Amino acid sequence: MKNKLSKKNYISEDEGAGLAAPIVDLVSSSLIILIALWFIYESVNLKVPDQNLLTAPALLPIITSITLIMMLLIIFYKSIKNLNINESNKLFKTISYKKNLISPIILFFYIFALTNYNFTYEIYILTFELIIGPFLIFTIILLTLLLYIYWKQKIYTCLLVSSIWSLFLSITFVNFFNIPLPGS
Amino acid sequence: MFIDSLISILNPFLLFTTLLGVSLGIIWGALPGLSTTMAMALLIGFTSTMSQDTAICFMLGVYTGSVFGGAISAILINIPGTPDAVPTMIEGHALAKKGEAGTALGTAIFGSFVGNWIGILILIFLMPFLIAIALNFKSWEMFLLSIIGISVCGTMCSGELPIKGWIVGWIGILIAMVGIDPIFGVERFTFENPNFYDGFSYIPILIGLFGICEIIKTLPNQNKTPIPEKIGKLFLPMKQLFSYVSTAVRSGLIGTFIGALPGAGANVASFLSYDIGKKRAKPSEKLKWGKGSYEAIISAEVANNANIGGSILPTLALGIPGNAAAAALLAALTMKNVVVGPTIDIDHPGLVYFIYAALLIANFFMYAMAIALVKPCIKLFSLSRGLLLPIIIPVCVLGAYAARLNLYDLWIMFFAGIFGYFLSLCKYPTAPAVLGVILAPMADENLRRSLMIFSEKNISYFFEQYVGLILLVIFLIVIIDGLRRLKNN
Repeated sequence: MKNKLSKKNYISEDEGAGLAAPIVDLVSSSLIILIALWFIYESVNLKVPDQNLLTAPALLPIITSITLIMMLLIIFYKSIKNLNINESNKLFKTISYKKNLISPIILFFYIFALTNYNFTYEIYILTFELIIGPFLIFTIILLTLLLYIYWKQKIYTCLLVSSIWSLFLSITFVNFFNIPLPGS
Repeated sequence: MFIDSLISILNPFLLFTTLLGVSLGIIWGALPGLSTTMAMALLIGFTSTMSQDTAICFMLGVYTGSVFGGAISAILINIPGTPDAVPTMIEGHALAKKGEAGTALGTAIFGSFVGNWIGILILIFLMPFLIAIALNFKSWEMFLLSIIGISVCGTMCSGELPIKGWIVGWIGILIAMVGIDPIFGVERFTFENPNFYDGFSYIPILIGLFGICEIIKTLPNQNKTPIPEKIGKLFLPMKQLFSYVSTAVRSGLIGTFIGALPGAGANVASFLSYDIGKKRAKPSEKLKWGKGSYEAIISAEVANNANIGGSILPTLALGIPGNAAAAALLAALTMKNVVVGPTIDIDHPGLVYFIYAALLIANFFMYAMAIALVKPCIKLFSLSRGLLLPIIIPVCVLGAYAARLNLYDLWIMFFAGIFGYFLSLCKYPTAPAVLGVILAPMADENLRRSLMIFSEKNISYFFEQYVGLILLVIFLIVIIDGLRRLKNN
């Protein structure tokens, strides 16, 4: 870390930012160029209400997309210049896709479930209202899964922790913050 | 007005909320991998049903507490709780290995307290001047200011390769263009989907970029760390602390100035102050830098805490957040219908003074709670990240949903998280995207309005806009400097 500190010419807020492996920069810049081109295409088709291009709703999106493509072309050019196919193949082999994709995939299904299921059963514990709905049920499932994978404890320990935490959040948000839960 | 605000904040409920915010912030900041911005972003949702004053006290408490909190894990377990605590980690952990962990922590607490004071005093002193200048800004100047904000943020977030920061900032602008155009009511990039008409709320974007993204990134890579059992006494002799006064003042000025620059947060402030402090240290003290120097801890901690006051300055006076954490504060204020910018004192009389008072109270609480929470925090370090990070996910979901009670915001949060993860894999910074999303509507409206005015006048009118010309030159300097860095890279 000390060496890293003394080697830096410019201090930046995001330590990880900088040039990536050429193949990564090549793929990312190509992808963003495509998105920027789509923005230009859509902008050109936007209405110009008072026939004045200077006040057109598409003005800033077009300027932004064009300058964005110009900047991306610099990254694209730099990555092409430094591209080494063998090193790129090695890089792709070192990435653990399974390890990195588990949590986003589980999270995707969790959000999908929360946004697509809607049911509510109300229970009162003392004076507190407990809502049994998609948030409580799917949060228990999500947390049990993630804790089992990453915390590496027995499944019933994970289930217990997940249930206590989900119940705590459900009761606190509804009773103390007066915020409804998603899906209820 | 300030005295009135100070009296109004001495209400037991507001004091309790500030104390709660500070304590949460310290604990959050102390936990490795959980940053100040993440804390601020997640907790915006909690403030949705709070009153405006309560929300301000809570958010400022979290901000003040979490910036300091990073120093605890940095010194005790050699992992910076927040990125700005890296210099503190180098010096503090070296002292901890010599059995001086307590005094290193005490110095960090003292440095943070002094840093906050310097930041707040400069904020109070400069705010009226900045507001007076900003009141003269017209559409053209406001457009340039927003574009400079995004560009400087890009440069500050990606020092070696500013172009990557700009790219992300520009993507943020494009994201903000989705929705109904505010001037003519034309639908832009909405696919005729009613969910897109209001555009993307930046609260789920903030939570996605700084919460979900960090969780996805950190979960597969967990390291176990040895936890110290004893930390010893906390404070250095006053005489020794007073010998660092000039270092503290210098670091405070650096921290506040850096904080006022868009995108440059506590990270840049502490690194820069540490670097300058090392160059200016006395020869006898210089020998200790890197091996455990109390002066170095003062340099870093004063600067990163003074940064808080600095970052609030442009946020309130210009509506341009000084860093991502200030952007979260801005989001919380917007949710309370507070319109920040040059007219803040006219639109919300007394609010600025209330914020000063809340910062002062939060600073006193930070000092007290830092001393009280150091030992309990050691116990927290033994919690596995495999347990800690998953349980934050439902908090992210509730935070994103609470802002507008819109299920669609959960998808925005999810995709913002995936986008942030993609950016970090490709070594792009994430903070400029937030600034882009926040400042783009201001840039869009003001650009079109100013071009309409320019088109009705002759070319000499453009050159008579002296403030605009100065801002244009600043923008060009930022771009040319960035391109020069690109060439040298």
